[in-house]
Amino acid sequence: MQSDEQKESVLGEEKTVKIRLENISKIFGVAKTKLVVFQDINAEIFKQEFVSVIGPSGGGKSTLLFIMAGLLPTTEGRVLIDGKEVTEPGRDRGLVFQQDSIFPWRSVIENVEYGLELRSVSQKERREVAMNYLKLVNLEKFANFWPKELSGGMKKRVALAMVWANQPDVLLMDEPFGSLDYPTKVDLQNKLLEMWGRDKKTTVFVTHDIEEAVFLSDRIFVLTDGNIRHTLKVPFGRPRTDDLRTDKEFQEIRRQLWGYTARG
Amino acid sequence: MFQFRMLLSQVKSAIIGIAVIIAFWEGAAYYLKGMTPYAHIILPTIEQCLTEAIPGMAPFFWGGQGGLFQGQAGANLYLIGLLALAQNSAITVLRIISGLVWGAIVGIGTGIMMGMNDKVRKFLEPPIELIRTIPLLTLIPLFMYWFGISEIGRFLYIVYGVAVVLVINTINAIDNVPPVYKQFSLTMGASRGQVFRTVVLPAIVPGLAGGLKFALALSWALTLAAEYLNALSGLGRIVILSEIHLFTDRMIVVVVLLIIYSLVLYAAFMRFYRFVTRWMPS
Repeated sequence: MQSDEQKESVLGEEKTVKIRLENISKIFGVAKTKLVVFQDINAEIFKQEFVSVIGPSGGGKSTLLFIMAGLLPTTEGRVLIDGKEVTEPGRDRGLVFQQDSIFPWRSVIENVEYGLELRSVSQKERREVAMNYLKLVNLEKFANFWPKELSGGMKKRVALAMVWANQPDVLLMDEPFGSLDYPTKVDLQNKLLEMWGRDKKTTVFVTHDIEEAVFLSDRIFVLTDGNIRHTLKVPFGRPRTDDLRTDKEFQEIRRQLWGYTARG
Repeated sequence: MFQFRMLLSQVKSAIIGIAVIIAFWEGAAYYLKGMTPYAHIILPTIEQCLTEAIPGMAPFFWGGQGGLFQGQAGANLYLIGLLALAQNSAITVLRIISGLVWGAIVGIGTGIMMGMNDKVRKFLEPPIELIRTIPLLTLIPLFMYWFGISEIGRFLYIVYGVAVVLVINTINAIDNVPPVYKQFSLTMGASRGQVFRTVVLPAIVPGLAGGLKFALALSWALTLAAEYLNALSGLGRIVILSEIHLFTDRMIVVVVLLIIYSLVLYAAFMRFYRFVTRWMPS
């Protein structure tokens, strides 16, 4: 099983598998309290692909993402990244959390420097690198602020800069914009696509927001009833702009996904 | 400017508060004087505290135990009285601070070891949970029995009391670190040791500082209690000996000093506290 070399033909394009989910099951508890979150999930995510996972809450979207991050073990099956099994969290898989996860005891710039600090990059160099990433999210004026002095959307941007500055191989995002108001969310989605477009890191994005999923993704997995029941390819090219959100076909896809996820 | 005005209003209300207390005190003292010949014992006037009580401290100078002044005849008793107060104050404050500092080192150190290592925790938690329920004051006779009336006994007693409180406080602080910070740190590539150093340690500082605030008050109480029962020096010793000899004015002088010291120590601590919690959302 050497996925590095393995190419798959999808809609006529040659693509390399980056993440492979092999027969993944997650079961919490035992016997009477047993809760099957999902069972026998098999899926492939290609290099440079942006995949969203949508589905009802409690359906295991975040659990699946945490398993990919190595923060949770599987009950059965395994996650392979570049053919290598995931056993623990690591720098190659950056995770943007749903809650505020930036460190409140560090200033904004110190937060962005964090990953570099872990690798003992010199003070001068890491400040320089961190400042560049802060500029990327338009927060350079807030470098010396405490996180408590920022709005929710700004904290999310710091988290993006922090993860980006750490240069992971794969990006995992757990409903990162779930708690934000609509305009802030749209703003951050555009910012995310802009940042993502620079080097197109393989991304798995968990969300319950269908519009968000369609706007951002190349493919969408619908996780319901304990498995990925539908996979949908988003036909729009890139770069994408806000005009797309009101496009007729865009609405059509939203409706289709709505049908998949709505509780019957 | 705004801060200055706030300070001014604080000073003003403090002055008003002190003035009210003094007025009631003097009023009551003079009222008692007209009623009973024992007024100078029940509630001495402020003048009495300043003129009689302070020279009365002279016999406590340099390890003296009250009673009659044993020094040179004709010595300036007022000055020696002040020196005696200063000397005993220094002894008491030093006991409080050294007890707090060493208690914090032992307590927080043990708490961190327990919080980081499950084996250590499983081994130490049951006995600590048990001994923390023993009221601290009941242990004074035991420490007296073990160590006699000695500095080391008092020191260990205060360290013990402070440490027990801070061990529990430290474990709670470690347990309360939100898991998302540790998870984030791990996905950024941190090792276990780095998670501890860059996440757990900074995250528990406000919790520890809160525990220290309580431990400071506790160190005061334990020091005074130890001095009442088990010391030959210090302000607590002066209070007890003055009480035995019905020198209420001397007791009042010491109590006023204790209030001042405790306010000063508390204010200094709060500066430290505000500094280490400056990043916390209010």
